[in-house]
Amino acid sequence: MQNLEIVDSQKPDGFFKLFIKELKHDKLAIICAVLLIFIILFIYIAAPIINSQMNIMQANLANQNRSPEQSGSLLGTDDTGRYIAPFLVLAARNSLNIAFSVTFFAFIIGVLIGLFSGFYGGTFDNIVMRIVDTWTMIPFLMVIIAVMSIVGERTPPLFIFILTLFGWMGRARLIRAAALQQKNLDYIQGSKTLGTPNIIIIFREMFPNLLDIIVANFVITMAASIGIETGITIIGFGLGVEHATLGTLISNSLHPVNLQFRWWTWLPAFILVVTIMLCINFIGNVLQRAADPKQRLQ
Amino acid sequence: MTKTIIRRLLIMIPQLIVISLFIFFLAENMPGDALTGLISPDIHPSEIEAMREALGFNRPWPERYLEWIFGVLQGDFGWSFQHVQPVINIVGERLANTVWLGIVALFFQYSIAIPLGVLAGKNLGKPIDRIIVVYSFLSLAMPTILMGIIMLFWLSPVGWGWFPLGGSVNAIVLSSGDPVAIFFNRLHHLILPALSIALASTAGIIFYLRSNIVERRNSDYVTLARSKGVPERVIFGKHIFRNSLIPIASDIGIAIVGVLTGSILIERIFNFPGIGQLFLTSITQRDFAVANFLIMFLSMLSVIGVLISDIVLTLVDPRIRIK
Repeated sequence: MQNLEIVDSQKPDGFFKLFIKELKHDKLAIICAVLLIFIILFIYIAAPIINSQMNIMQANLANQNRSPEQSGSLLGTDDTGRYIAPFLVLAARNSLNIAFSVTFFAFIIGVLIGLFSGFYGGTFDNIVMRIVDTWTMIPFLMVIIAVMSIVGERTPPLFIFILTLFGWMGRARLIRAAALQQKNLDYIQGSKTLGTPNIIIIFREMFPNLLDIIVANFVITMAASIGIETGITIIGFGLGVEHATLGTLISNSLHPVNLQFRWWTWLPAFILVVTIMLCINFIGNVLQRAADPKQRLQ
Repeated sequence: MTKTIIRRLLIMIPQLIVISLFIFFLAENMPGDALTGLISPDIHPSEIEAMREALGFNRPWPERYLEWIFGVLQGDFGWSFQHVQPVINIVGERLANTVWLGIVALFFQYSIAIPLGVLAGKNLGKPIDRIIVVYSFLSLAMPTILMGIIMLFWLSPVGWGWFPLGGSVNAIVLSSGDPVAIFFNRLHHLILPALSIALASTAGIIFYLRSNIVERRNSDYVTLARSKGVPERVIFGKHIFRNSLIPIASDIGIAIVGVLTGSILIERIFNFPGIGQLFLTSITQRDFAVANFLIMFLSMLSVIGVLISDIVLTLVDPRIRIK
């Protein structure tokens, strides 16, 4: 802690200010932030335009496996004759949408369980945490694959639901640990003495103080969600072509011929996924440093 | 000590019941049962229905659940109608492959992550630390499966050709019958998938070791040792490094399970005949008896893995025992 900058002890910096401060020290994170904003803006502006202009998912067998040079388009076509470049934009949008939804719902469950478990503590906390432990022990990847293979139709809401179902436990543990610490602080104890109802203490007083940890962890979880969704989609248990994600494009690489000779069918999606995850993780790391003074000394 | 372990074992009982109920209901909702394999033009559907009634498949679920549990406890894990033999016979060999993969992957993971973590922690802020941190972020941004694809692209015959494209052992080498050659051929096939799993899971250990070493360096007990004149080498080896390793060592049970489940995706990419590949093929062939057994098997394994981790932690860290 010695290296910690001494800030004005009267009024500590807010989370956002600290984030900007940390960001300034980290050139790599600035590059990542700019790159990520650019990618996200591009995807969300271009996707509706592409959708309104052409039917990307339409197979075109006269136009199969053209390299960028042969087809004259930016990234060539895949083995069903779809143009890769617009496909990539739509797929990236779907990937981000799914990852965001999963992270969002996982946080709602995790924050609710974590807050109550941490605030009440004792036996209640003990029981809830044993349940969380038990749920963690189920091999979630296998169960997700099994469920995806037995449902009749693989729809995005179902996919999001099943990913969320096994994605909230880590969040609950994190929030619970933070809530346990807050619980014994003076402002909570004082509020209790004044007779404030527990539900108001939890949501009006405790929750805002945990917001920085939640934001920082949300960003990092978002990267992990992209990773899990991509992995499941690559091996063919994700959504169908009509809801193609980046994993759908990367799964082209499972075919050795594509892997060796048709780099354009899978490598752009691969690079995009890694870039997005890398940028998100870098920014998440800066957010974590801003949220947690203990990590700031590095 | 014994008390802690007994308490820990008692917690396991409700956990096992909840997990087994979950798997039972998952299995209930999967289409088909042990008699599905009999469906053929030679047998009238009503006969199968009669058998189903006779075997008790139409009884209420608590009865069937209990029967299933007692079956499992007696070693009856179900019948695969795809392979026409008991599930347990199919899993054996595949499991051995996956276990080997797991061992090699864990070996790579620790032998890459621990030195890098120490190096970064010792040289905080220096260029080497920055490089290691960037590497860790890259490893974090590449899940196992992406790592596997890029490995295939570079190192298999598709790229530089250092390692085989997939499988577990070359058929020609296998038929030669030379055990040494077979062993090395197996290892050769294992390296790429194992390295993919290992490289994708190094970040956690590196970050942990790095921040822990930094934190301990500035702690009171290290300052005390230093002021007593303990040589720097001993301070690092005995006081900083050893203590930082405790959580990593105790995490071994969880790490084993992580490697085994993580191998599902990697086995698909490398066409490696382990339990992950078996799981995926049985899911696609609708051979749910095998799939269920594997889910149950890995659940039990993670219960045991967490138990091992907890016991190791109480063994190496006296503070836990007092609590």
